[in-house]
Amino acid sequence: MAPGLPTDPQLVAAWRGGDEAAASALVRRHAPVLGRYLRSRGAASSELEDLVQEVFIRAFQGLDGWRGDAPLRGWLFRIAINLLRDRHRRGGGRIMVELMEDDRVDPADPAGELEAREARERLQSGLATLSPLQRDVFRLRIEDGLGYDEIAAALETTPGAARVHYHHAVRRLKECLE
Amino acid sequence: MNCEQLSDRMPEVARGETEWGVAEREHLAGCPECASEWRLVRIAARGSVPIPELDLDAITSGVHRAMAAPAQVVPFRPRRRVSGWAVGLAAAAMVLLAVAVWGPTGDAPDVAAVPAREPTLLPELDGLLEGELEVILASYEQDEAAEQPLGAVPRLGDLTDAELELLMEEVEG
Ligand SMILES: [Zn+2]
Repeated sequence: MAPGLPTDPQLVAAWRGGDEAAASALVRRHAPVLGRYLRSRGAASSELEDLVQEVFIRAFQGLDGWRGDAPLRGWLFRIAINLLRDRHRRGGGRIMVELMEDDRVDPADPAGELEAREARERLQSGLATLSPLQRDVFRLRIEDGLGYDEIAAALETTPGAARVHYHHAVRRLKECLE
Repeated sequence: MNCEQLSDRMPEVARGETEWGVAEREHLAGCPECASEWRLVRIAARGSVPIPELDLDAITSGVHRAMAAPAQVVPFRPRRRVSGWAVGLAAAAMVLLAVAVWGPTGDAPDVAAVPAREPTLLPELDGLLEGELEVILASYEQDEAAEQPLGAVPRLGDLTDAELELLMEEVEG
């Protein structure tokens, strides 16, 4: 958090007091990472804005359910996770995955691309052997940049348990790459 | 600088949001455990999709429109006192609505309604021996197994040899 900027709890309190600009500031602060999360979990680019908007509508309507001591970003991720689950159920369990390969970050080192691709494939197979919770913790930490306290809020666990799951995932995945 | 501190910094460095400091570089160069974790984290971070370009103005105004709509409850408005029979009627209507929308076994759609799981206390990982970490990990694995929904079908890999033999006998007659 840059110095001088209001914290999330301050913005939430301001919004509860009727300050619409505080809600806008929260949207601007968290929408980009939520969009990246939704995109990386299979949402189409064309529906990202609607989905992110829905996350914030659910969040503001259910703010009473947010424990002020838990990181707001983690709680928003929890809503996004549930939103994807709801859509998945409504879609009769069909997975709405769009191939993401073209969107991936371009490698800075084209010469190592083949080796990197092979390593990514081994990593994908390794991820498939993890428990869903370990996989979620690992991806939220590495791909989405959440801290353990935010992961704990997103996955309804504790920061200590999130850390244990992360280390377990790292240990197994390192073996897959050796 | 220890391995845990370096591990905590790896994701953000791998995503290019920050760089290693001198002490961190030195540790990395001399610690094979951290070096192999760093390789993994770098590969995994390349699976991260870029931040998408979103129309934040449109999202913000959409959120404000939805919150201002008459059907929505505005949380910071003081609640009016409501008489007992009105509360009863409203509760009955909510039950009917819930059954109609979610069905008897459906899940509530809003995360805010889900009670938080009781937090579990964990000792600091730094102070643990390898064996102690294994015990903790094993107990979490068990917790996860116990969290499977009722009626979840066991996979063949979950069965003991004896159970598998019984199953095979039944199948083969
Ligand atoms: Zn180390």
